[in-house]
Amino acid sequence: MNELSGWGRYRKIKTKELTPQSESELLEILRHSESYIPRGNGRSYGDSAINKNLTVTMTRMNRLLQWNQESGELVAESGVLIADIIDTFLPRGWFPYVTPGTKFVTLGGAIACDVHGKNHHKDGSFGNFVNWIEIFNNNNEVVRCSSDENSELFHWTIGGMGLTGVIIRCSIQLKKVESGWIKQQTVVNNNLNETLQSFYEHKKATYSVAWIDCLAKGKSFGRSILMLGEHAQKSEVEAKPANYPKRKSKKITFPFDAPSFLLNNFTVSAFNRLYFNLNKNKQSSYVDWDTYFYPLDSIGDWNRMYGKNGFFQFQCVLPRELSEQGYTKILSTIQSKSSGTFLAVLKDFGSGNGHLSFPQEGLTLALDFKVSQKNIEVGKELTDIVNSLGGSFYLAKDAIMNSSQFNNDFDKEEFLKYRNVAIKSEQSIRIEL
Amino acid sequence: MSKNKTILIIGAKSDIAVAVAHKFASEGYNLQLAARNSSELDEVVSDLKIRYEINVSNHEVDILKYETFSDFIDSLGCLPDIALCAVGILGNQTNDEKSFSNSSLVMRTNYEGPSLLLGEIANRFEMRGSGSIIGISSVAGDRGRASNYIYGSAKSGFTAFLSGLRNRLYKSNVNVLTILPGFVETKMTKGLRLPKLITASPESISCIIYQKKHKSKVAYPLVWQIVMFFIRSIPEFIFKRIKL
Repeated sequence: MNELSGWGRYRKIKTKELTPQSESELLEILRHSESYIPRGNGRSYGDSAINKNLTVTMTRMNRLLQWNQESGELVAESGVLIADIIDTFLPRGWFPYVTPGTKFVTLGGAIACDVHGKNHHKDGSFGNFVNWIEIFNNNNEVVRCSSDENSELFHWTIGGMGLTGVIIRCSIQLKKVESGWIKQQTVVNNNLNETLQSFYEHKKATYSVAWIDCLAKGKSFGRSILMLGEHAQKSEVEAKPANYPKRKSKKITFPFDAPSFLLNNFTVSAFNRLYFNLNKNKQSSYVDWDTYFYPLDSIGDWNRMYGKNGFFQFQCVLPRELSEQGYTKILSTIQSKSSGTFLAVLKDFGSGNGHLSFPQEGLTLALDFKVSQKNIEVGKELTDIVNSLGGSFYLAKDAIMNSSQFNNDFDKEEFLKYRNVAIKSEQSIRIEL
Repeated sequence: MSKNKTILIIGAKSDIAVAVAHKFASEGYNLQLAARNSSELDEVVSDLKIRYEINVSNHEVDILKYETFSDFIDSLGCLPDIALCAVGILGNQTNDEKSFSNSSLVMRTNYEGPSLLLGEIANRFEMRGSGSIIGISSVAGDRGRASNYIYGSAKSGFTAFLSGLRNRLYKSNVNVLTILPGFVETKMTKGLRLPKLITASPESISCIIYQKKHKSKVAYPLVWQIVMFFIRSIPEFIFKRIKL
C-alpha cells in the first residue's frame, strides 16, 4: 500500500499503486480489476487520480513511437511528459501547441484534464491538437477514437478525467517555432476594471495571463500585472547564446514542509506589494521558454511551501459579462474571510470544447489556498458564488466540492454511455461523476 | 553518423539495460539491442531513435542457446565497440532449492549463458585489438547467503569468469568491466522490500557504467563497496549463524 495525493497534498489516501511498463502488462492489470483509476504524473491538485482499490500509474509507459519532422505529428505513449517532448523536439524547431503551467504532466493527463495554457483565447485547449487517442474503453477493448472515428468517445475523453477509459497512446500536433525564446511584455493594471479591460485590449497576443494581487484593497482592488508573450523569431534572438536554450536545471528544492504559519495575510500581502512594484516598470524582454512557461518548475517540490497539511486550488470560469460582478464578490470574500492565499491568476478563455472539458468562453481565476478548516469553508462559499452566476469548475484542481455543488454543464446521460464503470476516482465518487 | 561508436546490449529488456541504452544514446552511441522475443522491444527502439536521432537495431538472442551465439554475433552487422550483458533471473530460492531443473535454469541463465556469449565476443574483440566488455553481475555473488545462494553462486561464477577474462585480455587493449549494482529498483526486484538508503535507480547505475566503460575493474556503487567490505570480512563461523 502506498499513500498517494495530488499535487496539493490534500487529501492523502492509501491505495495500491501499480506501474505497468507495457500494453500487455497494463491490459492484464485492467482486465482483472473491478475498480481503478489511471494516473499520470500526479500533477492534478486534488484527488482526481486516486482510487483506494487500485491506482494505475502510467509514467513508465513513456515511449515516443513515431515522429514526423515535416508535419510535427507525434505519436507517443500516454506516460510521456511534456518535458520530454520539449527536450526532444524544441531543438528541432517544434513546441507543444498548448502547455499548462508545469511541464511535468503526462500526455494522458493533459488529455484527460483537457489542460489549457496562456494561449487559450487564441488556440483553445490541449484537446484541439490531439489527432487521435487509443483507449481501453468500457467494453474492455482497445479502440482508436478521433473526431472522425468513434467521435463521441473522443470528445468525452478530452476533459473526461480518465473516466471513459485508460488512454494508452495518442497522436498530437506540435507547433513550429523559430526559437526557444519568448518576447515578454508586461502591462500594469491598477484595478479590477482595468484588469478585465486589458485582456480585451491585448486579445491579439499569443500568450496572456494576469497575476492578480487578491489582497489589495480600496482603489487598488483587483490590480494586476498582465504578462504577454510571443514566440521570438530567430532574427530577434541572434545575440543569445543558444537559439533553442536547454531546460534549466532545478535551482532549489524545497527541503521540508514549511511551517504553515509563515503564510498568512500579512506576509502574502507584503509579498504581493513587492511583486507588483518590482514588475511595474519592467520593459519588454526576451526570456527562455522554461522561465516563461514554467517559473515554478525551477523550485523542486514547491508544494511543500504550504506546510504539511497541503493546499488546495480553486479554479472557476465565469461568463464574460458577469466577470466583473463575480470577481468583485469573490475577491471581497477572500479578503474578508480567508488566510494565506498565495497565487492568484486570471486568464481569458476563448470558446471551449464542450462535453466535460473545463474551458469555455469567459474569464477564469485560479487561487491557491493553504488547507485549513476556515479556508475550506471559504472555498465552498466561493463555489456557491460561482454556481449562482452560472460558472463552472476545473476538476483537475478541485479537492473540496460535493456532488450538489458540481453543476458543470454537460449531458450526463450521454456521458454515461461512454463511461467505463470500473474507473472511479476519489473525486468522481465525491462529486458523483 | 557512421563514425559514432556502437554498444551492444544483451538482455536489453531489463530495466538497467534500458537505462544504459538511454545513457549511451544520449552520448551519441548507436545501439544494438539484443533479447529474447526482441519484438517486445519495438517501442523502446522507436523511442530511442526518435529521442536521440541515432541508429538502433534489435536482435534476437536466447542466452540458453549457446550454439546460436556465433551466428548471432555475425548477424550484428558490425562488431560493436562495447558489449554489455545485463541478462539475469533472480529465481525463487525456496522453490529452486527443491528442483534440479529450476536451479539449473538460474545457474545457466546467470552464469553459463552470459559467460559463454561475452567470452565469444571477447575473442573477436581480441582479434580486432580493441573493445570493452561489460558484465552486470551481483553483490550476491560475493558471498553465498541462505536467501539466494543459487542465484548468488551463478553470479559468483560470472564474476570470476569476468575477472579471469580481464586478466587474460589485460595486454590486448580489450578491457573488462564488472558491475555489481547492489539493490536496484527494477522489475526483477519488484515486490521485495529494499532498504531505501542502499537501493539505486537504474539511471544511476547506467551513469556509473558510462563513466567506467573503458576501465578494467570491478565497480560497485560507493555505499555497496562499504557494505560488502563488512559482509566479506565476517568470519564464516559467525556468518553461517546469521540470517541474511
